[in-house]
Amino acid sequence: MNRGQTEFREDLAVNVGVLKELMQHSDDLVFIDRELSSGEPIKIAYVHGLTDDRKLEYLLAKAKEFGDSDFPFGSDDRLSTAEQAADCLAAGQAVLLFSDPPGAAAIDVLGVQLRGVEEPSSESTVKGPRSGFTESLTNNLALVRYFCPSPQLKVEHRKIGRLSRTNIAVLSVAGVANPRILEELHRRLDEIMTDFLLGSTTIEEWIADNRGTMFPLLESTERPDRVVGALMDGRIAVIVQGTPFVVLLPFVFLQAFQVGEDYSWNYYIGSMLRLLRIFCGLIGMLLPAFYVATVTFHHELVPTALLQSIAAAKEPVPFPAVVESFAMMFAFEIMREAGVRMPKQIGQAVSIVGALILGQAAVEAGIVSPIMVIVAALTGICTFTLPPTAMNYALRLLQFGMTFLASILGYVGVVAGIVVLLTYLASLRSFGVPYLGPAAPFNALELTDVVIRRPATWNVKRPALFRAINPYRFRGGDK
Amino acid sequence: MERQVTISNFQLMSLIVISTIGASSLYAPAALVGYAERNSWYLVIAGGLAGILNISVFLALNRMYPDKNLIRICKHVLGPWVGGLLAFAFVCYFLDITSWVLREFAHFFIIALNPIIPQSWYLAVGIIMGAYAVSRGLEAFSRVSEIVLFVIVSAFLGIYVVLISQYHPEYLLPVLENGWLEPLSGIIPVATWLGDLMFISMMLNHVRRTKKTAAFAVGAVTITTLLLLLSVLSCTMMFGAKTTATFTYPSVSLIQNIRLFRYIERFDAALVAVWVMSSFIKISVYLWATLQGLAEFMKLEKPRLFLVPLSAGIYVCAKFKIWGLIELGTFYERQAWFFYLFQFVIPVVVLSIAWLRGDGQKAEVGA
Repeated sequence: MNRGQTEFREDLAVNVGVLKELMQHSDDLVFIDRELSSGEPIKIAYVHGLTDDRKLEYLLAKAKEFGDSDFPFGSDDRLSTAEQAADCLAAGQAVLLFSDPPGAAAIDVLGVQLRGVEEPSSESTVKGPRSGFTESLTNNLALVRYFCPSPQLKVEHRKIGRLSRTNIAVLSVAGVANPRILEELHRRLDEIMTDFLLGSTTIEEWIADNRGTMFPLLESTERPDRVVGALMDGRIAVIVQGTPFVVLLPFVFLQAFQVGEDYSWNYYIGSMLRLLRIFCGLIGMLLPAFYVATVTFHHELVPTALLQSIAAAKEPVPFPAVVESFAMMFAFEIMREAGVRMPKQIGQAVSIVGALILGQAAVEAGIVSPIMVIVAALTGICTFTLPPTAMNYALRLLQFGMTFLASILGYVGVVAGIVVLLTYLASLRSFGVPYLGPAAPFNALELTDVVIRRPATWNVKRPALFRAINPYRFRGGDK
Repeated sequence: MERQVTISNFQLMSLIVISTIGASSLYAPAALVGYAERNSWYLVIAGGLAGILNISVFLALNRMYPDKNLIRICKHVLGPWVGGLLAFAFVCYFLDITSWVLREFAHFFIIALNPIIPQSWYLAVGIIMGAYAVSRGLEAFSRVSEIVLFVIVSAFLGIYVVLISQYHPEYLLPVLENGWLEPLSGIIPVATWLGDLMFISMMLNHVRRTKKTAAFAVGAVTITTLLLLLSVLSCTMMFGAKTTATFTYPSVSLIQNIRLFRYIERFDAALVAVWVMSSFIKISVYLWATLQGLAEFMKLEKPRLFLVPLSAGIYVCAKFKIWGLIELGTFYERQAWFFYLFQFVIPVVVLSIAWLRGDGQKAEVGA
């Protein structure tokens, strides 16, 4: 018996009192009197609203038909202390209190209204599976098991959060995932000291190698097919109760430009889309900076005809290119955020007003040049091609930094910014895996399935980057 | 326990290629035609052999003392006093080289790109980049060097390939009309460019050792020699030897002759990228070597604390050591012996003494 734990007494009223005390006398805590087939009085406790009505009714109706050891729900769990019973009640289970011998049992009657399996809004797809995770851990586990019906899929349950006691599940494929990375994950999970776990981001922040970086060191996805793909690469998934976002680890920089759909198209299209996204990522981060550097310092590098067009367009604008650029980028971010937060119908109107009316009016008023509007629009559209992960936001923030460097040092500032950024990224690791891999450290073979998409028949080996203990997906003659 | 910092053979190769090709590709075509005119390609090949000889000295020292850097080797071979003095001289040499590279970095942009931005700003950017890289560690900037190598080699090859229609191979004729020896009068400057890899003497004990380490190191000098050869040949075939000699940066003039689809021209931005990246790596490796040398020499427990003052010192040295590009170019040509002394002569002396002490045989037995 742990110190500070309360054992059950023979007197049910005392046990009820203790439970009420532990549950802070909450008004939604319900106690119902019943008798077992032996005539022994029992109390059934549950939290109103957290239970499935049908399961509860069945329990209440059938309670008297059963003895104290054969409850109808299978997942019953004997409890030895009142504190355990309180935890179960808070988690949505019904608790049966017995007097002879004194004790309790928990029965799973959880029933919260949750949304069903829908297409994930943040990772929509044209071709490929359309199921997305929900807020239910059980549902999400079932989805993964459905997509990967393998007995080697290992699920480890844990509870995180001193107060919230949030259920999480760690998923790995035995014989594929590296046990040292799994062990390291559990060690880091043990170190989480928070009292409340609010979604997967809190977990990410606790277990990431570097907590101070704005770049995502772990992947987050709503798609079960992506989770299964990651598990098959030797990676590990963490599902958190209450959020549809599943954490995948380790994660490297270039994976931010991949989407699950790449594998739903043939490899030419998949490769082209990946290259396009990387190109768009570069434009999204660097185009305003190059524009500002060129217009401010390096006119001589622009072909004469184009220079004349730029000069003519900029002539009525009283601000330097950097001010124009910051104003447009800032305005674009405001419109984007407004479009996301507004109800869908109004959001569309905001983007139309922003793009057409505001842009047109700003040009006519001579506040910004038409070229700057084109630059800002192209930059914005390019960032829309990237999956909406933290990387997307990081690149958008870097736009401002690069533009600032361009405004004081021209091209030199931009390249210096890129070099410093690369150095920073190269110093990051995700669960020991270099963040810039497989570009740096360079591995030509693996790079071909990260920057472009290789045909499935060529993927004999799993990515060595994730240190899978079974490096082969298949070998000649294997079925 | 602190994790052992290790880099791969490929990363070592990248660091050597980038550090040696940057400056030499800018200055070499103009400087070498002064010695060998249209036969400067021959001088480059000779310089490449000298570079391989140079790197072999450091590889031999590393083979004898696999766990020691140059500073510790000096103290071990020559004793605490003489060895300590020499070690201190090497630390000062590393510091000096860092400041030369920083000054070259700033000069190039002032002359070739934009004279409006003050020199101090370029110097500050250069040293901040280097100090930041050193603060993130050898492994971080070695990984970056792998990407930079790809960018630099692609950029150089791209430049030489798109100009192919404008080359005049006849400008290379006649070949070696004054014999094989006369062009070698410029061997020292070219050997200092291709042997500008002293930093590896501080780095080799961090390389994840395989049987191929020596091959990668020699391969790095070979790649640099080939790139430099292409640079010298392109300039000579494009402008002829005499015109090449009149340019400050013939590579810039080379790029300015590129015109694609009759309209797209001025690819100077590519050269900016190459120059910033190669200077970044070179400043980083020498600053790192200086800091390591200082830490080893003064037995510092927290060398990172010295990074900022050291960087500030290098900035001041770089700003005031010469007054302009002409003095810089003259120093490189006339005082090339200074660089050669530290790059080759003294390491050969240390290696010879180590052999005489019998450390070479011990290493072979150990191997």
